[in-house]
Amino acid sequence: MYVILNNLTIIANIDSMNFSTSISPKIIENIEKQYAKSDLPSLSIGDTVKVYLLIKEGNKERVQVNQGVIIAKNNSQLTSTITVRSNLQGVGVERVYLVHSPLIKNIEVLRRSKVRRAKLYYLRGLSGKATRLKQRFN
Amino acid sequence: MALATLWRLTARGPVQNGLAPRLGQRGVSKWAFVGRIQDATQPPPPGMTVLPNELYPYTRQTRRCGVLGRKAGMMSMIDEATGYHFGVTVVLVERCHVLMHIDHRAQNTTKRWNMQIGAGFRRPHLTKKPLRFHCAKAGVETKEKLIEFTVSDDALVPVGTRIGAEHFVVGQKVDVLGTSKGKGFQGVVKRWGFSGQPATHGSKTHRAPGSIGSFGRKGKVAKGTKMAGRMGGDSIGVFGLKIVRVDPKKSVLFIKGCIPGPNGGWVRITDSAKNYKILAATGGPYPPVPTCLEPVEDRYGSMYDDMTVDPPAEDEIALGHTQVISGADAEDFSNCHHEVAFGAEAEDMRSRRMEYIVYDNGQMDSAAQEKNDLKFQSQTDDII
Repeated sequence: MYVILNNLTIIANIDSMNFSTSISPKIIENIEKQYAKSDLPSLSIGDTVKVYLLIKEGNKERVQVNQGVIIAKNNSQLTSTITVRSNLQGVGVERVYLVHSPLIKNIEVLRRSKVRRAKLYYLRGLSGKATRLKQRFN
Repeated sequence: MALATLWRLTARGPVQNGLAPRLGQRGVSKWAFVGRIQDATQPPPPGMTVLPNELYPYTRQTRRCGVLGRKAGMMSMIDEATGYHFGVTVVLVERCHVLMHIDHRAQNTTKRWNMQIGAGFRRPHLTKKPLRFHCAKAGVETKEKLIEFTVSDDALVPVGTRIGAEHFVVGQKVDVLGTSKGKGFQGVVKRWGFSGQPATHGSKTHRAPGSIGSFGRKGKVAKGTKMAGRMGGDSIGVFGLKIVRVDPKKSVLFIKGCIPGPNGGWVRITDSAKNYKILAATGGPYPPVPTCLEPVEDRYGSMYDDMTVDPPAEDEIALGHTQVISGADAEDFSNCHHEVAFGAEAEDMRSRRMEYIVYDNGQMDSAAQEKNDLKFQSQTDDII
């Protein structure tokens, strides 16, 4: 069935199955790629890491450095997070960072460790020499 | 015409021109569709035939048309200034065109025009003929959904105009109406939030409604008592959502917050009533009235940037996978599915990765043109 109006081109499709736009998860994936960072280092559990955070106080901007061990990692494309644990003046501090956030200027990996766990929550109950992790060189 | 004469013969005396008769009055059928009859003394507003050269001012009385979109999913965005992290719904504004102006000035209390907007795409061989010709009369492809918006006179848009994502502006607020997800037959705890009964300590019931009335209430159960039943599948409105980003090329809106319905569901997006006050205070960019005058050509809501399509090569044509038919030969279309494309849409369809037959109407000779006109004359008469 076709309709002809004045001087208009008519195109007949044999395969019309590909014509309609279907809503698929690829749409969101393609959009998230615009916001995702491509220059991130590979981060794994047990890495000792320096996170360079941008802090804005009014008009001034400064970069704050936090160093610690990655004890947890959550992979979910744009909202991927890492939990970094450090010991500040005898107090254990954990902080969760959104890895693709524009406020994180840089992540530097200092040391990799050999761990046999996906999450290192057991470090919360340990202190001092017991929290040492064996280094990995590959 | 018969209806107009009947108006004057009612028992209550002559009816003035411009006033619609009461349906069910003597001589007037209850099912008469009176909405289309126009008042001849007032000319139609200028926005109906032609778009203005400049945008009209956005006033408190302005009421623009909305848009039909499809919910594509949710993602998160991070505000660069503050590091604030929030969720955002992605809505695909899928092929919205103005199909019709409906005069409801005699009917509704606001005395305004309604604009009918068609959205989506439905394969023509699956669409019923009245809808096919209704869309063809407006010069657009067959639509899947039709909705009406009540619109003020300065926000009227001529028939056939495309309304895309650029109709909305970053920072404005919108109201979103959608059909919520169906949950099926649900009990009283999930459906109404009742707390149920204790799990232990000798209790025999756990998720029952408990009492449904008292003797003092006339000894019967009041209408509207909350009970178990079908939950979901209702038209739900979420109001005052902010637009965070507009992508006109891919016809996508990023709306902050959650929207009813599943992914792929249709949602109706309109300007929020709160807009004027908020935008007047901030002096922020006002939404364009009647609509954005510089429309951006998009791939009709196609999100796949990497899906670049080449037209078929000459080898493919020779093999018979695609045929090029021109002139009066292309009369037998019985073996094919047919899509109808007009103007720019035709160019767009050529570039997609599909087998197709091209029929160029411009080269038709007069004999074939007459034959075609005769073929469709009886059908076109019906819609006029």
